[in-house]
Formats: sequence, structure tokens, C-alpha cells
Amino acid sequence: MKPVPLRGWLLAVIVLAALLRLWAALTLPVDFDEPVYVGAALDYARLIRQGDWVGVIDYPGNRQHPALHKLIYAGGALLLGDAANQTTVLYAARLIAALLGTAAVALLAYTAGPLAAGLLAFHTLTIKYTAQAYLEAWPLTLSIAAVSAWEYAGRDESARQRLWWYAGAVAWGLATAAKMNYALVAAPAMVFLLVERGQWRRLPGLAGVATLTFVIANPTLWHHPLERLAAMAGFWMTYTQGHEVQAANYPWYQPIVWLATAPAVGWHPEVFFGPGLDPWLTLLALIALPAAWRDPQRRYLVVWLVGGVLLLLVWPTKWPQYTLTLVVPIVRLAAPVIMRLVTWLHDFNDYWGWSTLMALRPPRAALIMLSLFIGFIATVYATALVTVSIGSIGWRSISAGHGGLPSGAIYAIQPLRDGRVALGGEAGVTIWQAPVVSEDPPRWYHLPLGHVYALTETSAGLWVASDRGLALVRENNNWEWQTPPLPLHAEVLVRTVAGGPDGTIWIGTNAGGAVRRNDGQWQPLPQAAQGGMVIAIAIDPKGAVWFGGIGVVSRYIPASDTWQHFARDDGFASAGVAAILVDQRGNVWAATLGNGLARWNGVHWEWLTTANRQLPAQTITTLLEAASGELWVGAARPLTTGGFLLRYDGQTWHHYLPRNSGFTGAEPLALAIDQSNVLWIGTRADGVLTYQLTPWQGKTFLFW
Amino acid sequence: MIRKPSRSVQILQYTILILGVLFAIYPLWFAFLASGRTGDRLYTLNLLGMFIPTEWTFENYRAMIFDRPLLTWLRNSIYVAGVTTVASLVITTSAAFAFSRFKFYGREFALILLLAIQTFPGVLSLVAVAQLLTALGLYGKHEGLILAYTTGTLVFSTWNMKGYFDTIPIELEEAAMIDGCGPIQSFILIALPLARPALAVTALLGFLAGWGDFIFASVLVPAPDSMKLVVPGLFSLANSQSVPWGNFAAGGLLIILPTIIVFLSLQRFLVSGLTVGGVKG
Repeated sequence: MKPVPLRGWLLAVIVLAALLRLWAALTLPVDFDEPVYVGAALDYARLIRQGDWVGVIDYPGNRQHPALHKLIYAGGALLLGDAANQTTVLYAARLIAALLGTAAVALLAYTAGPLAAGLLAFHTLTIKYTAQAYLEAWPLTLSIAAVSAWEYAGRDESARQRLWWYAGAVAWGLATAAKMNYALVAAPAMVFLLVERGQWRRLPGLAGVATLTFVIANPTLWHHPLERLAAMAGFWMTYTQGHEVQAANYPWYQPIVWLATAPAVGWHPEVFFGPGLDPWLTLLALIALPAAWRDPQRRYLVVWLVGGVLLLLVWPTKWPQYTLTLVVPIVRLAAPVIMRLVTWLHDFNDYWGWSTLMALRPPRAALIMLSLFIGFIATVYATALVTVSIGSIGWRSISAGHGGLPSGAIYAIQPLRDGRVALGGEAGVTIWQAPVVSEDPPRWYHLPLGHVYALTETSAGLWVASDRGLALVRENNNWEWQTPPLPLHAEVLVRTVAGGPDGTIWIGTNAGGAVRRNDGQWQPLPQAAQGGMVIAIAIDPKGAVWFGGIGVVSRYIPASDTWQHFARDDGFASAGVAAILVDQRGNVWAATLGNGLARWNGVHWEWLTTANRQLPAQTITTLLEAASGELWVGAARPLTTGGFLLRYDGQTWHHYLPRNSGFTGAEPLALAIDQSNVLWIGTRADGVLTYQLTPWQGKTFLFW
Repeated sequence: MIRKPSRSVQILQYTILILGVLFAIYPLWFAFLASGRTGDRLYTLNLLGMFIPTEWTFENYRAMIFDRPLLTWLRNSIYVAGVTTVASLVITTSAAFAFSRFKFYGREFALILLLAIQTFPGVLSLVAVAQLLTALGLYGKHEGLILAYTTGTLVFSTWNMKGYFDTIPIELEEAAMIDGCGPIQSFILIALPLARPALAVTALLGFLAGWGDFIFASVLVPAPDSMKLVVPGLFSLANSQSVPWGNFAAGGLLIILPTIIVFLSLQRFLVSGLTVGGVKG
């Protein structure tokens, strides 16, 4: 058999590295620090787009890390233009990280051979952190470049050799400007190379070049460099004693645990198949240490690994990504051991021919069947995973335990005009406010207004329908009860509220409805829902008001003071009408809790049910029309927990399922789209799900 | 002289054979059809659909591979069956070689004792095995299951391997020893390559013991889902309210393929391995 040429191996390793990293970038969940770096990249992109270069230099967020890597991610955000948001930039940054991670493998393949590069390509912890929007990929590549340049640099004084020394110093400075720990861990090996080759006199000059490069590549230091470096150092000293580090409670030897295991495989078994090579590579590197120390050409690798391990052991913070600074010496030490083992086995087999005698040599049919079996499973799995991963882009979950929500049940959502979002639940109203600086957490305000059923906003403020009555929340979050004293009501239960375009407020109660005119006077409407409980109200642009009750929908035309009721004969039977929506075309949609979805076309009601295969369930809980004209529908599963989320584009119903999206299968109770084009989904027990709609969603009006 | 059967006899023979083949293959074909049917249905009201795929979806395969822990079960089964195979090979070949080549006190008794153990129904030992594994701290662990399966395959495989080693001329090993081989080298480098057919049989038995068993696997590793093997894992998909037939059929078809692949790989050794080892004793 013709041996594969070196160039073929190099190409194979690089392609493999790229595929593994792209796969991981697509399928890994959002990690701890990613939103922080993505937020910084978005802020940098915004400042650059505004031409605010001083703002870039003085950007206050995440100053503990140099700016270079985040500026590279900001480049991705700039390329995305208007489509840049937390989600799209996350994946753009991941793509950039994956490409830079592949560049590290390619560089190692070029400088240390395809075997060492192949081991780096397969190192699972490296794959993880060079496929996520972390700050690892670029400094990893640059640290390889820096050490390799000094490795190539010889002992003579020729200009060419001098160039290698200075190129290494520049790479070292750039690595520091991306993330400082790579340069710090590689420093002993770099200095050792310099001294070992008798070039220690160059140290001050090279250190100066590296420092200058670091400052130039890190705009944060362009103003008050010493002050900001001191602040950076101060941050790290404080951080090592901070809450996060203390909560993690890692022992001092944790870096060795990270290196001696394959933690990424345990964290993400759906991304990494089978056991990782990581611990075996560490073991082989340890085996190789004595031989490498005896070899003057490779002694610096020992210094790099041992010095780096000592540094990480001493450093109080033990995050797993820190050990990536040691992966390059590990794979470079492990590669010759593997090569030696393979050579020994090859020679042994050449002598005895044992493998020829004992090899199974299965027939072609078995090999074909095995290939088909593995290929089929891999294809089905990869297709399903990619479908879910792509579908999950833009989805986030805010649960009661981890977000700022007091309870998991959300019955109403109202995006406010100032960009905030009000969420009504069992424990009152919770107002969400986006952070000013992206890396900060959102702010939450809680208003204890009882069990909230509905919300609506008018120029007066936010109206809240709750089991305690009707409340009006002003802009400063102060509220006052505005429950109307209605005749015929011993106790008013305000079940829903809606604001009219003329400033009127319409409420649904346990016995009909009521309206508050512009003069502040309340008028009872006992005819609404034929005097029963009014659960939903919608106001027609033509002026008609629709009331949904138990088994009835009422239409009221204030101008003529006329009522029309639609009940059993129209198909409403006894199910409650949970929501009413008047769409942009004038169609009236009524969501019933058991009979399906009804559409009023001006003449009669058309029913969409499971029987005519329009819907997966007949218990429709909520409705929303996007600016695009698309209809969003929430439905509950019959006889069990959970629900469905559907989107109707006028022709096709699109089902959002856990297998094709980030929708968790929770039961939607409320839907709303905020000013950032984010769809908010309030659920019965699982808090809120948000879905960043794509820029083209919500902008194109679909005529149907 | 062989008399050629008449045409009518030939037709009868082929009819019986074809019916036999259909009878054997139809369950598999039925499972294949069910695996591609929508809505977890075992049957269809479409008569044609009972025999040929009139509708097809890969949803059941997707659900089994992606939603259900089938790949975990497959990995567990491959681990258990693989280690059982290797352990059976290592133990039975060395034991059989010793029984075949060395004369030692108690040799005959040990061989007869092995046969006597073989007569004891394996299922009856289940409780005792479970107690032993609990005492060893291996109950509920794959290693305990491997131990149980390996001991289960020991008797037949040792006898079979011994029979095969008996057919290999001892002069070959003696010649190797004259050239400087020790007993272990002559065993590994001379006897084992010659005993490939018997090794194949031992390997296949070891693999099948670990792959297709239900009783030991479900009792000795009862939970959790992530520890189950494929057969008890598939069984656990059904509950008192429903059986996901489509998933069941897709999973069933997927888990028989590794057995077929192993069988195909070892096929050319199997006939000679079984007959030669079995006849000699």
C-alpha cells in the first residue's frame, strides 16, 4: 500500500480539526462566560459603528481581560450588521473561535508534525474551549507561534535569525493582549530557550517588543496604562478570593484533575462521542518527560509543562480552561512516545507476522454492513442534533429558580413602551429591564399585586387585572388600585383588561364586563359574555369590542350600543374562550379551552380543530399576531402536562417542538413580542422562554 | 447413482422451502414495516400496507437514536459483550490449553466437574449469582454482569477449545520449543494461530452471551436507564398504558445488526470450529 504523503496527513488533520470544532460550535450549549464576551463584542461593535474610538478605549466592561479577542469577536458583530444580537453574535464568535482553533492545529502541524497536531485536534477540552465564544483560541495559536519562532531561531547573529526572535516576541505580546495566562505559562519555556541558546542578552529588547505589542494590541491600555494594569491586577487578586471561586471550592490540585480526565466528555456527552484521549495524552506526556529532559532540543517542553503546572497549582483560580495553556507541551511530548510505540509494534509484527495470522479479516459483506450501520446511526443522530441545535439558536429559558422570577407560572406578558417587559404571575407583576452594559445581568422589579390574569399598557401606565382587583402601575413602579365599584357585584373579580385606542379601559369580571370612559366614570356591561365570566377582551380597529366568556363570544359596537352573541350554535359549546385576537386583516380569532381555534371572517365562524388536522390539540391557551402578520398560537396537551407552540404563516402551521427548536414543550399561557423582536412565552410552570426572532421575521407583512 | 426427484416433488420441496423462508423472514419484515409507520402503530388498516411499505418515516429511528437512550444501551451492551468475549477467550484458551497439553493431578476430575456444572440450569443460579455479586459489591454494575456471563460460557468453551487443541499436533510446539520458545510463547505464537476456528466459536458464544440475554441483564443491572443493556432497555420502553411499537420495532432492528455483523465476520471459522472441537474430546 502506498504510504500517505506528509501533505495528505497535514490536510487530513486540519480538516478533521475544523470539522470537530465546527460541530462543537454548533452543538455545545451556551457556557458560563460566553454571554459576557459576546456582550462586550456587541458593545465594542456598537461603539465602532458610532465611530466612538474613545468609547472603545474607555469601555468599562470586562476590563480584567485584554480587549484583543473581544475586538476580534466585535468584527463578527460588525459583519452581521443589523442582524447582530446576543444570539447571532454568539454563533459568529463561535465560528471565529473555531477557525482560530483550527489555525492553532494547522500551525502545530506545520511546526511539530501532523501527529502532535492530530492529538491537539482530538483533545476534547481544547475542542470545547476553542469552539465556544471564550478567549482561548487566539492566544493558543499565538503561543504556539511565539514558542515555535524562538525554537526556529538559531544561535547565530544573522538578520534572518534575529527576525525569528522578534517575530516570536511580537506573537508573545499579541498572545498576552488576547489573554494573559497563555503568555505567562509559556514564559519559563521562552526564557529557557533564550538562555539555552546563549541569547539571554536579547531578553530586555525582546521583552520590550513584546510589551509594546501588548500595549498596542490592547486599546484598553491606551489611556492611563499603569492605572488600568494595576486595576487589572487588583481585580484578579480580589477575584481569587471572590464568591465564584469560593463557591466552586476546587482543591489546589484541580488543574491536575482537569488534565488527568476528559471533563468535556462528561459535561457534553451529546457532543463528544466515546471517551476522550485527554488523560492518555497527559499520561504519555509524563512518560516522555525524562527522555525529553535528556534531549537538549526538547528540554524547553519539560520546562513549559512543569513550569505551567506549578503556576496553575499556585494560582488560586482553577477554571478548566486555564489548563489549555498546557495542552501544546502535552501533545508535543506525547507524540514521540506514540510514534515509538507504533514503531515497536510494527517491528515486532514484521518479525512474527502475528497480526497476519490472527487478523479477523471479515468478509466484504460484514464491512459494508458495519459501515452502513454506523453511517445510518451517525447520519440520523447528526441530523437530529443539527436540527435541534439550529432550531435552538435564539432560545433562552428563564426559570423561577435561576432567573428573577418569583414563580414559574406566567399568565400575562406586556412589553412596555420604554423597552421593559412586564410579566404577570401567581405572585404579582415582575418587570424585566435589559442591562445597560451587556455583561451585567438584567434588572427585575417585583410588584406584589396578587394572582395576575392580564396586563395592558395605556398612556396612563400599566393596567393589571388580578384576583385583588384592577391596579394601575405608573412609570416609577408605584401602583394604585383602581377597582371599579360596580353595581350587581358583591365582589368584583377582574379577570382581564384591555385598553382602547381612545383611552378607554375595558375589563372583564366574573359577571360581565365594564368600561371606563375618558371622563373616569365606569359603566357596567352586564351583557358581555351574556353576564357570565369574561376571560378575554379584544378591541377591533373598527371600534367593536369582543368579549370571550364560558361558551360564548360577545360583540359590542359602542357607537350603536348593540350586542351580538355567538354561543353553542356557532360551535362554542361550553369551553371557555381563553383569548381573542383581531388580526391586521380584520379576522377575529377565538382560542377556546377544548373546542379548538375559531376564526370569524365577518360572516361566520370557521373552526380549526384536531379533526380537520389543523391543530395538534384543541385546548388553545393564547394567541399573538406578529407585525409580520404571522399568528403565534399556544396550546395545552390533553390529559398531561406540557403544550405546543405553533406559528401560522397563512398557509402552513409550523410546530415548535423540543426536537426541532429550543422550545421545551412547556404549556404556553401568554405570548408577546418586545421591541427587540424577542418573542416572550409565559408558561404554566416553567417560567418564561424567549426566542430571538430573526430580523426578517416581524418585518415582512404576509398577506394571507 | 443419485436419482433425480420428479418435477412434482421438486415443486413440493421448493414450495415448502419458500413457505419456510417466508415464515422465518416475515416477522423481521413486519418489524421493518412497523418501524417506518407513523404514529406508533403496529398494524395498519391498509391491507397492502401490511406487506409493503405504503408510508414511510424515519421518525421512529430518530426517536430511538436521539430521544431514547438507545446509543447508551448499545454502548453498554458492546462493553459488556466485548469484555465478556475477551475474558472468555483469555480464560478458556489458557484453561483448555492446560487441559490439553499438561498432565496434572485432578485433571480428569476437573473436566468431569465442568460437565457436571453444565448440566445445572443457568436460570436457577440467578439468585445465588445475585447474592454473590452483592457480596462482592458488583451488583448493579456491568462488571458483575461480565463476571456472570463469562462464567456461564466457560464450560462449553473450555471443552470446545480443549477438543480443538487436541487436534493440533504437539510436535509443532515441541519444534518451537527446540528453537527457543517457552511454553507461553509456544501457546501464543504457535497454538493460538492454529486454533483460530475454535477461538472464533468461543468469541461468538461470549459475544452472544453478553448481547442477547434478558434475564440476567434485567435482574443483575436493574437500573438506572443509563446502565441498562439493549434488550432490557428496549423492554423498558413499554409501560402499563402504552407500548411505543414503532420505536420498539426500530430499536429491535437496530440491535440485531451488530450480532449479524459479528456472525458474518466469524462465519468462515464457525463450521470447522464447532465440528472439530465438538467431535474430538
